[in-house]
Amino acid sequence: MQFLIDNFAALTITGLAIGAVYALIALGYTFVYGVLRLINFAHSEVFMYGSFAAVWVVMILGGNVSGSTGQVIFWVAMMFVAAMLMSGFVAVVIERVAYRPLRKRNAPPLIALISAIGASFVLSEAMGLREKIARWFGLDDTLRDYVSNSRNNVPLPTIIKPQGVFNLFGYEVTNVDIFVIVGAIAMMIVLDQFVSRSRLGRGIRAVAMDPEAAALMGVNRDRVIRVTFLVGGVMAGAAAVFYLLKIGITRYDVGFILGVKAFTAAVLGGIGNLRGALLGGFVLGLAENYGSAIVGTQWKDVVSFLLLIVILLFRPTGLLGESLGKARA
Amino acid sequence: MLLEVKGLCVNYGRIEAIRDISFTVEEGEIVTLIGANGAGKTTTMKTISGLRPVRAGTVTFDGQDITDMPSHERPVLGISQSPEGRGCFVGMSVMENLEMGTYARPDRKNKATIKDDLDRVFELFPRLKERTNQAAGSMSGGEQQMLAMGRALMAKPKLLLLDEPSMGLAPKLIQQIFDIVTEINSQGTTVLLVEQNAAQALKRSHRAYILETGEIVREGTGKALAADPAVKAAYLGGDV
Repeated sequence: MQFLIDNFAALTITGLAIGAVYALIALGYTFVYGVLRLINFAHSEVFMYGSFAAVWVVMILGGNVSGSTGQVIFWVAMMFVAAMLMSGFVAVVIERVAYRPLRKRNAPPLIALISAIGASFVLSEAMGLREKIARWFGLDDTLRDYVSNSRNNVPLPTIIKPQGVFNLFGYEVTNVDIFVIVGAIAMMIVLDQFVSRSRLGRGIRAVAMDPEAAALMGVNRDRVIRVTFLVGGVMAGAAAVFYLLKIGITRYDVGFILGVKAFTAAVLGGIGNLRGALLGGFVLGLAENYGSAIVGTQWKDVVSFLLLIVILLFRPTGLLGESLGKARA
Repeated sequence: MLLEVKGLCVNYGRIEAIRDISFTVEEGEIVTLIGANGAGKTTTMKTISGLRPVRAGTVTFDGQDITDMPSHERPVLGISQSPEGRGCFVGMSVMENLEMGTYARPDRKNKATIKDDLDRVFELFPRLKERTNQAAGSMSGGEQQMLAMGRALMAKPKLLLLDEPSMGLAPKLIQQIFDIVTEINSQGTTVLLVEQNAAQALKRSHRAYILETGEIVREGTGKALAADPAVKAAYLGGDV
């Protein structure tokens, strides 16, 4: 308890930073659920592929990073572009390969769920076995830096050197903390505006609320679904960059626990509800940091899931309630 | 001929919902499909909008075969539907719902045209104008019906499909809704109406078809059918 009080500011800031990452991943779960009533369990791998794309782009472009503000901005921008493209691409491919064929045949939701879990394993193991896959094509020498030790941690060269910016009750809040928290919130504001104001965003909400009525208005459901996966993927790609800047490493199975946490955040806030995902992410990030300060870090995951159970006992639809449309207007 | 349905068959799994239905709607008409629950009225409407796959037969609109056209392309041609149960987007405001009506319009970016159409809808349904910012889900059934019709009109359709606009409404409001249907038609929109309230519907429509268990059993002008003893007995409560 004394530890919690002494380190309250530090725990709060790191909680918010990791919570922002949860929230951005949670958006992908909640977005797809809102439109398709489907939990896309392969979304964790969308995040993981984005994180690798971000690391690789730094390596490809000659990766030794230090120095000027201009360079830092360049590297971070390149990471965002690479991760968002990769994650968006993987998300759209998952939709095309694992879900659309089932949807066209009117498969029951349970089948899509199993397909999702299968897609998750395939994607994660493909990354974990990338050294072997490269060897089949005889590329393992050429790509050695990228594929060797494919089941180990992959570090990101330091892009932004953490520097204290201001002192909050004895904790030096770093530039990385601020960038991650502010950046994630900004992304979510952009998404919120896209969904509530743009024509396509309205089409997405219309399909979420009433697919048949949306079709009567001329909304192309397949297109909406593709955009939904794409947007969720792009957000996961951004999350991957923020995560790398804060944590500094990734690996082929990084998606698993993060995915479960982000899914928890989505349910906590109210699945299908965009603002709920934001709130759920931050609440979860803070709770697991405070909780582990009280009972010990090894209990961190236990704290998060206990919180989920307690909240669902009292509010079965999550903090802000279900549905993509109902929280608005 | 604006709409021609020919030999249409639609199934739900193995169950035949409609069998070999043929009918036409001429430009400028109000045409009504009358029938009991489960007669296939809503299925017919959904099929014209492309929400149900056709097993056999054709649907022709404005000279174009649209039998297999995806549903979301049909509003562009000028087919707009106010569905059974209204189908308002409950989490959107009244204004957002009306704007959804313009989603497929090629001229949706022309603010002046859209504004004119919005004014026309508000003239027909003054209640909507008072509630532009209210969430559709928090409105009464009658108001949601008005919204669904107003939204369908915002698509500026050549053919307006109205599925059970009087369902669940108070008698006074039913009268009002039918008055508005007549008004919409006199302003130049062709209307295909599905109704259980046969007395009102027959009085208002130029022609009508009677559906029983998925087949058309009778057709004629609204007046003639309203005077037909068999129709009276089955749909108008005998002694009307």
